[in-house]
Amino acid sequence: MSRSLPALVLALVRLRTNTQTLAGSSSSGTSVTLHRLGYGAMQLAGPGVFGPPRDRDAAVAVLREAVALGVNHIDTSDFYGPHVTNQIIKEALHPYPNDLVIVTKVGARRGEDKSWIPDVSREGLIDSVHDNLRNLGLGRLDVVNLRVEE
Amino acid sequence: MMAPTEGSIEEPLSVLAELKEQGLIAHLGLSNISPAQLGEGQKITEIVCVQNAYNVAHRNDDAFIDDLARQGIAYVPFFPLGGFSPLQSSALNEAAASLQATPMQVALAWLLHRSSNILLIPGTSSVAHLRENLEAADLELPQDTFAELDAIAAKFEWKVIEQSPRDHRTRTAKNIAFATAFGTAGTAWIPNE
Repeated sequence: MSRSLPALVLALVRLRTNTQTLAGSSSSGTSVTLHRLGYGAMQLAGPGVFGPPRDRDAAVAVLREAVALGVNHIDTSDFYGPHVTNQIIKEALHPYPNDLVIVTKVGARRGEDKSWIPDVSREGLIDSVHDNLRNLGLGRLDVVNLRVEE
Repeated sequence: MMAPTEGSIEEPLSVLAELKEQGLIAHLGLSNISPAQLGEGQKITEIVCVQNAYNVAHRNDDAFIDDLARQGIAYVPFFPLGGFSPLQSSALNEAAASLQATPMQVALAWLLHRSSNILLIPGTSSVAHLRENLEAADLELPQDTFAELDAIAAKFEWKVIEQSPRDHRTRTAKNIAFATAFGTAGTAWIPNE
């Protein structure tokens, strides 16, 4: 599939370049070309995007297959599960390929009743970023989307 | 479908911009936002991508996508099949059948054709569906099929209301869509006309 996946050479191409200048990344790459078909990891958690999946090995297999087929853009959040989806991504793909871009999002947390609770408080956002770093096993997150609710 | 709620994003985005300065984040994007909120955000930090609800049947962001393309900012739509009316689903199903493809493949292919700054993130927990989704990249959409699909948003537009005795019609469509996506809300769809 990698032969035919169309690629986006646009905004996100700047990712690695900027990463390098921003925080003195050791990455030798100067840019990354994102394939336009990425993978959204929300469905890897259990029912209601809560708790572990019924078949964790299958979830790991899907992620590995996606990367093997040329996907280099994975969309996730630590509030999928919560935590579970990111932990599965780490198990399946860490150490991550150089050209893999993991995009996560913050701005909500989960209630014990599986509810989605918007939370853009300073403390909530800082906690979420650290949760993502820890559960993905990263020192720096490639892209963080701020999810805006009212 | 979800629609952004206007309101300042300065406070939360400034927090994330600080974390970016500290080196914990390389790049920032925004999700579920309006063009005005993007403008506000860009005064605070560079925004590399926007993630909103958008698909062939829900085209609120048409002008926004074109503007983002001009700015070189990626647009990442979610809910590729979300909020279709039955008539819109029929039109999509017919197109899919004529191309020997699945409706999801056609919905994804339409998005790829729509604008070059669109990045897709279909999800699945099955390897078979993963392969099927990725094959959308190879699907050729004939011009007339693209045009037919292009017309379904305006042609069969539906309006959503919340059927909740507690707070009837007070919740926004985006809340409903968000909850519906996870199967937690009781909602009803009624035709516009």
